[in-house]
Amino acid sequence: MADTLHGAMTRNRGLSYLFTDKHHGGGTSKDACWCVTKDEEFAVFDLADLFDLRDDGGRFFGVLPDETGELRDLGTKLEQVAEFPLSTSGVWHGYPSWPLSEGSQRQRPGKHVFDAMVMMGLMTRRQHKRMMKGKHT
Amino acid sequence: MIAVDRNGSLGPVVNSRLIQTKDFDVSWAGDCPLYDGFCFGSEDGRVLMMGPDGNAMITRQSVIPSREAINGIAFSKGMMALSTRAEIVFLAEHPAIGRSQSSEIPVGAYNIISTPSGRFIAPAGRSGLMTVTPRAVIEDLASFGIAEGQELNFYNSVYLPVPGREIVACAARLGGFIGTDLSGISTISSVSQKGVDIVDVCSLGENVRTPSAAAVSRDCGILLSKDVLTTNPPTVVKLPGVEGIAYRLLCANGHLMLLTSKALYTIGGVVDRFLSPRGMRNTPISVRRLPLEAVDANIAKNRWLLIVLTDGVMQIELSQLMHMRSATAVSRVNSHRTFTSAHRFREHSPVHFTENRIASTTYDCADYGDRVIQQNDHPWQSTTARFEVTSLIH
Repeated sequence: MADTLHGAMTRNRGLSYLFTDKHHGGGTSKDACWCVTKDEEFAVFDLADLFDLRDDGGRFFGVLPDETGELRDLGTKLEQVAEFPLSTSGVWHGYPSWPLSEGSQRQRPGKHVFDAMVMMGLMTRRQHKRMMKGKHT
Repeated sequence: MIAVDRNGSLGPVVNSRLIQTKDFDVSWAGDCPLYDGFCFGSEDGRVLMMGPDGNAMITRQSVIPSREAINGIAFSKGMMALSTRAEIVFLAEHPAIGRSQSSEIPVGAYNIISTPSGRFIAPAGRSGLMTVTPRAVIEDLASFGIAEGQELNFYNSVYLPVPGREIVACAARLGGFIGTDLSGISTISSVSQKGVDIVDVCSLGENVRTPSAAAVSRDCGILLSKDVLTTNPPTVVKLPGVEGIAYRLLCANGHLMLLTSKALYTIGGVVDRFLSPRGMRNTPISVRRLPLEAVDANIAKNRWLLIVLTDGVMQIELSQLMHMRSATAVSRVNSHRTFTSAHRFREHSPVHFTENRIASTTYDCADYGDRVIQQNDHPWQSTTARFEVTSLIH
């Protein structure tokens, strides 16, 4: 799959989004891979932009609650949070985020990002406490 | 095939105590060998220790450099180890003394435990299974073991008490149910099934000759193994009426306790029959449901169940959960009584105790063989791989 620019832009800031081959099975086994549809993937980014779920480094983070309020798995390794690194080109992309730090790789979102997700009704306090521990919800 | 309907009949009342700590949002609760009581970790990386009656409270600030939520605490040979999603921290002195020497490994883990030999073990996701002795901590040396040729996500671990050996079972999410003998040949055995997400594991007791363990899948299937070092497929039990996402599976006095996102289930009649030569066919199973919204749970002092809630820690005496029958059924939450401990933390933050009485429901699962033992749609994959250990200087 070649990288594909999504036709729609986010509702809040009008950000463009790119579906990358690397995170749709075209990368190595180490690369995170989405397990939701492209529309759902964009919905995660759109919600992150809508509710301004950013950390101090400008990265967006997102989740996808189901109809019962439980968080859906976003990645093939059962990740439940997605990261969208700061774009310098104006076109954004993202991938499911690994919950643990691995040496210099610190992809995990900070506490205030999870706090914001609770405030915006995207996750419950129980889910927040589980996520803070790196656990599934 | 259920003797009583799935909603169950009213069961015995459970007396519990809600422990609430001001300005200390508990993320982990468990044993504290230092005070013969309880130890709590907070969402911002602090530690609180207290005796079982609320005395001898000690708080320690800024134990975790990143101030991340503590998800595991273990003690061994005068040393304390803590895990978060960002790091593993070792404290070499008694935390009550004030400043102590600490050592940090910048690798996140999901939990940390200790074994009787003194070794700390932390499941660190795809980084591997961290093992370290207190002496190695002093030398800033830790080991990470991975299964050669496999990418496993080490998610939870438990020590299995088999004399003369040091066996650990692990939950490895889609990688399955894992066993390895740290004292013997360095191999790692795993059984997995396509799509089955194994999230927790527990020992089946201390009076068993083989490394027996149970694991639970995220959709609340219970896997039972008489020997985790073999690659025999586990017996899978799927109980009707169990709701929620599985968080913890614990075992005490022959009872399994399954904590989900919706309730605590005490399951009687499974472990003894599973370990007996007769096997499990036609075994009546009693299930007791205690509705609550929990985050985590641990057994403390082999006497208490400590359940981390969103607003405190619920303390329940295990013996209360084991009684499956009661002549007196009562209405839901009957009464509660609140008082503030006379003791205070060093930082003068009071701890509040609230006595609660909670009604449970019980039901039986009969005709065990046909409905409760799950038939597998996919075959179990069994593998044995070399346990490849890499040393890390930190």
